[in-house]
Amino acid sequence: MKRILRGCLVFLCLCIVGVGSVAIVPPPVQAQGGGLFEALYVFKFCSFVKFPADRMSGDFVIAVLGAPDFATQLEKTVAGKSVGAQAIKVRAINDISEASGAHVIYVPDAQAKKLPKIIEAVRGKATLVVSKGAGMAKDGSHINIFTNGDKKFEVNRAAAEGAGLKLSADLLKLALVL
Amino acid sequence: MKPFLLSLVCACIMAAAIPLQSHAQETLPQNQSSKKKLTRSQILKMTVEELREMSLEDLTDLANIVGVSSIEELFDLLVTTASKSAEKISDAPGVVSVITAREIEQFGARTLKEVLNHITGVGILNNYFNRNGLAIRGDQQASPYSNHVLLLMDGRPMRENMYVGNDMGAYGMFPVSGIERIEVIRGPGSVLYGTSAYSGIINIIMKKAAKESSLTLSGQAGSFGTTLASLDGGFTAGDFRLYGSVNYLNQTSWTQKLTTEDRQRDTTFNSRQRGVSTSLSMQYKGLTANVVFLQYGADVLGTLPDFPTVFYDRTNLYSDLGYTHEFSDVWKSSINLTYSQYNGQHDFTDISRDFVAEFTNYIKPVKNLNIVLGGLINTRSGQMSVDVPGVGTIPLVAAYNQLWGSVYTQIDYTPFEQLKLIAGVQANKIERIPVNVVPRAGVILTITPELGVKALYGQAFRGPSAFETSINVPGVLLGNPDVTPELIGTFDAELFYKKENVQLSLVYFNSNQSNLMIQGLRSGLEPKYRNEGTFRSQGVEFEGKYAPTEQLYILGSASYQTNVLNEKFENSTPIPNLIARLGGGYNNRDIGLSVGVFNIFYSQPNDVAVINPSRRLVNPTAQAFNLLNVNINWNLTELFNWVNTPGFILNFRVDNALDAQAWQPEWLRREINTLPLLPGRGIYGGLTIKF
Repeated sequence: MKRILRGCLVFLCLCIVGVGSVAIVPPPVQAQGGGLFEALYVFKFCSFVKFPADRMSGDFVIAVLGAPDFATQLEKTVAGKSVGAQAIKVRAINDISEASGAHVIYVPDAQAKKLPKIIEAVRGKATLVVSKGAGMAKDGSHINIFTNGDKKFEVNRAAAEGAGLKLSADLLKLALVL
Repeated sequence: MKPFLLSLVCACIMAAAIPLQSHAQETLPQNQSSKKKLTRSQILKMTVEELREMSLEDLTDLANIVGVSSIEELFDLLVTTASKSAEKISDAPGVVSVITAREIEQFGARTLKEVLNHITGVGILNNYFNRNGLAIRGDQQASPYSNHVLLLMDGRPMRENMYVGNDMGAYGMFPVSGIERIEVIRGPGSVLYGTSAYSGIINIIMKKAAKESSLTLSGQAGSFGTTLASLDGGFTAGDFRLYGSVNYLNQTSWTQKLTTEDRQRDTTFNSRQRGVSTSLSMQYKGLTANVVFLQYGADVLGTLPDFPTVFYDRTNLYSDLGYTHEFSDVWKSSINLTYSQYNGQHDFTDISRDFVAEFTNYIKPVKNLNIVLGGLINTRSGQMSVDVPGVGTIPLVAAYNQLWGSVYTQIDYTPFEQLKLIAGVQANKIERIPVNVVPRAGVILTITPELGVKALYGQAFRGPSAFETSINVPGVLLGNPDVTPELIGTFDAELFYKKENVQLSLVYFNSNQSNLMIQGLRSGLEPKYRNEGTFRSQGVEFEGKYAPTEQLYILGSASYQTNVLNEKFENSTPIPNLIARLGGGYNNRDIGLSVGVFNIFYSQPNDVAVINPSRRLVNPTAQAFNLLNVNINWNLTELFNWVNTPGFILNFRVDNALDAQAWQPEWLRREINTLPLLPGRGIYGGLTIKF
């Protein structure tokens, strides 16, 4: 009797997992894979930041540090889009020295330890630092994507303003402001 | 009646949130309101172009429905216990494990004890006095209570000072539905948390109200006459946030067959447990308040185990009022007033009150230096007595009033990004005992962004309880006002690896305890508490989490230890040398399905004969066992894409699916071989409604 019961339990679990696995054909958003919402956020943030006048010509460059898969996702997400009159270009980089001229630098969690160096490197260059990882806004990132209850990102306002960037009130309203 | 009245008050507060929430929805602009009505399934069918054209606010609303990433909730965590401020697990000066509300929901757990049984290095215990004990690796666990583990609620101590660690009520009835996550530190923590943060710390982080008000009702029933119910809700108005929960548990019939110590008769032990608990968690700007009230009762075997069971009632109140102010980027301070009260009703009655006033400063003079500096005063009072018919009330522990205090500091310095150095010290003053100092030191080395090493050393102490200093039952047991704190020193070396969806940790620990507080009666001496003996332990632990996809989640751990008491008795603890855990979670939110399967393996523990060769074999020998639990949640609202409908979630759970017979060595009296640890297979079903 025990064997039968154990068998039934295992069979039930397998059935549920199996049915759940094959029941759904991935719809469009789901088919995009991981990072879509993060990419959308990075894209949206660009419109809420006022850059100095000398940075409002040419391409609008978003550099992605050490995350080539995310760079690909971001490139697909912003394809054909622009910030004001500036066409968005995504650049995958492996070192902060390759970020020259970028308007935005995206720093994933795996690169969090490099954040102090990145902040130092972009000082006075009006470059927005966007990150994704717990505690990174506290460590100097200007906007950090991080689930905190109903807030999806946090803003280090002082750090952004120190970098010569002005964040819009609409952005601050939606963010957890440090 | 009191707990039920309190529950009613909390229920009313939470129910009041519902009309307010409805009103808030009515006043939303039409376009936003319509977007809120989208189901997850509908959002996933949208194209990238549609999402791209949305406003940031609408995108955030959708992200709240879909979740930016479910993996993020499991891997991208901040912990607050090791340094009293938020930091990544990889940066924390401690060996830390975390279980989140999502994991609790996935794998299912009705009590705090069941939740903690998922954590690496934790072993659960049952004995004559306490059916909800637990110990953390590297410990002897000679007391009936968990007196070497400090419980915290949002970082504040829940301290019971009559026995120290008589938390049967908390482990049995803490409102689990109000828990956001639990951080467990394995190893000493006295530098920041004082007495009893000895072999480990369990920090329960309470849920905070989200932007949208919410209400959740849940009920479950099943084997052993079990009924469970909970009510949770959050309310937000501007900066004011309030989250509350009410939990109820009643289990009427876990029937155990036992043989008495003298082997003269077999008996049936019908073990019941029941209780009710409430929690309220409030935040307003820098002000925080937490209150938990619980009443829990359970059958225990009794003071002298001839098995007329005693229904042991525990009533616990935990409360904390805190205020944090940030003076500048360099300096932040917090003040906390924390009060805990425990009442117990056994053959005797006891009460203990514990009040802590603490002032903590967080100083960051330069970017790579953090200093925590604080101090506290702690007042302790209580008494224990027994009513003897015809004689009156006899004090067992005379009324006491004690004043303890401490000052502490912990500094971490990061000279360059790959290296973090930690040092800390606490000086504490316990009444009648000279000032005692405990230090800690550590190094955290980041080899690559994913890989790192921690080397940590810390000391801790456990001050004597009122019971140990003052119990007065002549001929049976006497307290000793001269006993001094137990001491422990632990070295931990951890190799950790973390990527976006992988987390691995390998730990070696080596722990030395001295000045143990023991009851003389067990060593055949005068029945009086004394300091005597040493306990050494060492072991290795592995812990891992891996999410290959958004849907699948695998976690496991193994903790192996050896130990020796008084340089003579090997492996003399009720906790087996090896405890291994393996679990898997599957989530398909498109059909609303969540399945959690979790197995806990306890190896065969050592027999009591290690210390008492003449112990009697009255019960089955303790064997290795597997505790396999299966938990299924099926969200019908997501499955059928119901619009404008609360979430209806069906729950099905099988505990101990393999019907393992779990017996544990009886290490307290050491007169018989074993006691039952867990019930057999149990099947439960329930419904949750999320508004």
